[in-house]
Amino acid sequence: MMIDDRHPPKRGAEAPVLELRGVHKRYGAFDAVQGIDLEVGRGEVFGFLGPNGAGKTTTLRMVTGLLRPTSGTIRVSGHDVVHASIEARRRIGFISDRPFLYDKLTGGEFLRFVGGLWGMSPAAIEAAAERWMDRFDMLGWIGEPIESYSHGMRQRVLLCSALIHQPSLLVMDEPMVGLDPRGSSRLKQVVRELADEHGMSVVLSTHTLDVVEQVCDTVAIIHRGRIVADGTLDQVQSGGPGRSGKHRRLEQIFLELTAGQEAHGGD
Amino acid sequence: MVGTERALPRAPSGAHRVHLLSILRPKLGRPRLTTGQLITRVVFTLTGLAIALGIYFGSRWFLGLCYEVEAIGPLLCRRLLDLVLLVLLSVLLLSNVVTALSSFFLARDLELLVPAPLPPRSFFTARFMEQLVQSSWMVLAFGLPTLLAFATVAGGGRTYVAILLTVPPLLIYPAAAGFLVALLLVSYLPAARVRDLVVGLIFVAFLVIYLLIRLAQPERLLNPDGFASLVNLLTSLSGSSTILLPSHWTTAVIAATFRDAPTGTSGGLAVLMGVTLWCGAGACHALASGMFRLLHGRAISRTQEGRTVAHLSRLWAWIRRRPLPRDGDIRAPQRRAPGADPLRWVGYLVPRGPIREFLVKDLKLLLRDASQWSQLVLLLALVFVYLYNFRHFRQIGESGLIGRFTLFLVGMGLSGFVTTAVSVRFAFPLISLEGRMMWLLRSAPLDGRQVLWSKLFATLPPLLLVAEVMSVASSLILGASNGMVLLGAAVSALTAVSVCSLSIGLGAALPDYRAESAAKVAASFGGMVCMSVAMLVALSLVGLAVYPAWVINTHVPLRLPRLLFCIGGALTLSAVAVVLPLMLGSRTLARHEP
Repeated sequence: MMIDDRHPPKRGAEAPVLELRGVHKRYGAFDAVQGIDLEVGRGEVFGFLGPNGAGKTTTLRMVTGLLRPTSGTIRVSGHDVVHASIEARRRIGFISDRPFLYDKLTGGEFLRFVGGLWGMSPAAIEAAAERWMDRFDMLGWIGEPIESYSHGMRQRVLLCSALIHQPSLLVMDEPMVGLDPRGSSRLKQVVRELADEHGMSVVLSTHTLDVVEQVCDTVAIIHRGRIVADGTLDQVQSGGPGRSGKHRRLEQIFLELTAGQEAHGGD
Repeated sequence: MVGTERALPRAPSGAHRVHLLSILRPKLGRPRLTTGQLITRVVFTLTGLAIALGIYFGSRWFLGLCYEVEAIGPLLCRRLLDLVLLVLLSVLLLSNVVTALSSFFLARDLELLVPAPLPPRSFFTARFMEQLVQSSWMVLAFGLPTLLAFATVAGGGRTYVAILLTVPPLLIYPAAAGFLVALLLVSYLPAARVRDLVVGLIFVAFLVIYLLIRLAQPERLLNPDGFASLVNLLTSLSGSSTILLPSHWTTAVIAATFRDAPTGTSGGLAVLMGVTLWCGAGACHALASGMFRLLHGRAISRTQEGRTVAHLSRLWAWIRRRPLPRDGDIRAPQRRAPGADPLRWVGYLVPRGPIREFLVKDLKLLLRDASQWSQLVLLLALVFVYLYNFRHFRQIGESGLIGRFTLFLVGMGLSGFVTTAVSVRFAFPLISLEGRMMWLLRSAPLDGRQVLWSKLFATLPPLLLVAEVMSVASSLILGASNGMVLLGAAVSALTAVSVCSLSIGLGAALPDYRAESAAKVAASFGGMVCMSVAMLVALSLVGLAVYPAWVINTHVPLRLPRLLFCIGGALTLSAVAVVLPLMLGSRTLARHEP
């Protein structure tokens, strides 16, 4: 299925689902993230781009509460991720870039465990687990131990676990890694459906610029801990809000904006 | 460029040596140690040395007694030597199978080394050396003192030389056999499962050996009446059936150097046995090397194929009449009907919520990890042996040597020690083992306290059961009064609750997220701190029970302030031991950034 490559953002009077204000993260003397401001509205798919070591993963991990910002505030549906972390986390689904799972559990047992942590009833867990595992072609493997899964299959189980509790914000750090073309295509479809039909907001970081062009409504490019470009895909590609410059490819813009970047070994 | 081929660079002379060092270098490098790790290493080294010295002096004393037995002393020593070497060989074989599985088939660096243009001989030699050292050093560290005790008691300078000449080739046999067994197993079964299975079997084997030794009661050697049956046992264990084993050849060489060498141990025969030992070791190494070249590639390929259906799996699938998945087929052809969940009873005991989820998950992981449940079996056996041996205490009490009151306190102290050790081994590592999954726990709507409480609820009931069984059974064995039994049970309950909470809390406050196994976490610096603090708490609780026990035992008039001080002290100490570590752990967990 071809995916429409232009999706207008759905921001209106509604309060943003995700809001970052002056977020700063320092590791010792190194400033990984420097004063980021961002907003993601309901039903919006937001693409987070940047070279290795730019601060993408750090930002996403701060959003999910895994890291505490040195300064600034992050709110998910109005709940501060530091001071009202439980309420904020209840609304988030997270796909880590390091998909470690309990190898000795089966896929179904892992989903039951995750659903239980989010306070779902057993019946709701069973229904959601079947639905999502089927959606990602994993239903036949639901009773098999995770240690027998390939990398791509683990990634699919991880996707199911992030969606099982119907979060209002889905945070995905490099979700396409390990997925075959079919899995990748299925994920893009699912992301668009979640945003368009269920109003779920999605934040995804990726190095695959095609994915951003196909799926995202809005995009931000982070470079050395700072946002160097953001807006709708059209705005970024035409050189900024209100400009009617030449429409260029995202890859070209990305390379120009991040020129001279030296990898710091992480994101 | 059709028809032409780019010339590959020729391997320089001496490449074999270069490659060998390249493979070993990462293992030989000195890692930087933190202060905690350094202290742990020093403490463990000193403890190891103390144990080795204990084994040496214990063996020397025991062998001295045997050697002095008129007429059969030297023969008895030779039989014992044969037995010791046979046990060493068996332990080494099992140890080598596990290490071979890890280093040849499951090591993380295989993905780097296998595609590299390494000469197979270099690869095999490097891995074989690594396997030999890893699997033998600990067995040797505790086996060598016994052999040296033989040299001190029965031999002389020549015996030390004989040991030096025969032990190195002896180590090669189990190493080669271990590799061949591992090679054979992974050709038919998944490597990770095989390792789990072998680790489980090793613990069961140790358990059986230990129980056999305990039930044989070797202390009967001190009693002349028990000799006949024991000599029979030794004779049957190291009789002619072991003559084809290298342990027998080693015995022949070492025993030939004994001062009163038994008949049949001529120098010529010893030299022949020594040559056979060395030649056999060389042949075993050559055989292993050859089999490596022949089968290793195929076996490695199998270990990389997570869903490959090996021969036994095909048979199993046929028995279950289940269609086999094909390689590359992501959708299994038929969904397996979910079987009855053996842990559904947890649902009736614990209300729905994170605590139940953790309990079910942790129980499943425990039961499916052979290295964990096998240690649980070992633990139960140790409790049995502890209680089995405790009846000797009753005899001591009846003899009037030590008062029953003192024995009761010793029993409580020992019970507290076992409870503490069990708690540190099984409860302390629980948070560290979540290390790689911390991304999930920290992104779930839970706070650190809920995680810690769930771990506490999961571990406290079995620990309480072990503590109570030990306490009540040992009190009953001692013939203690009902009041003493109840007092012991109460102290054990407080000890179990306190040390369990301490283990969970300090496990979160001093975690070792990088450790690969629970045993390594328990042996870390944090584990040692936890063990020390928990022991202090356990002994303090026993100390606070002295006065009530004294009153119950002697029926002296009760002084209420003293009793209130003991009860209040015990309750306060337990409350602090429960609350403080959990608070500390919860705070550390909240600050942790995975």
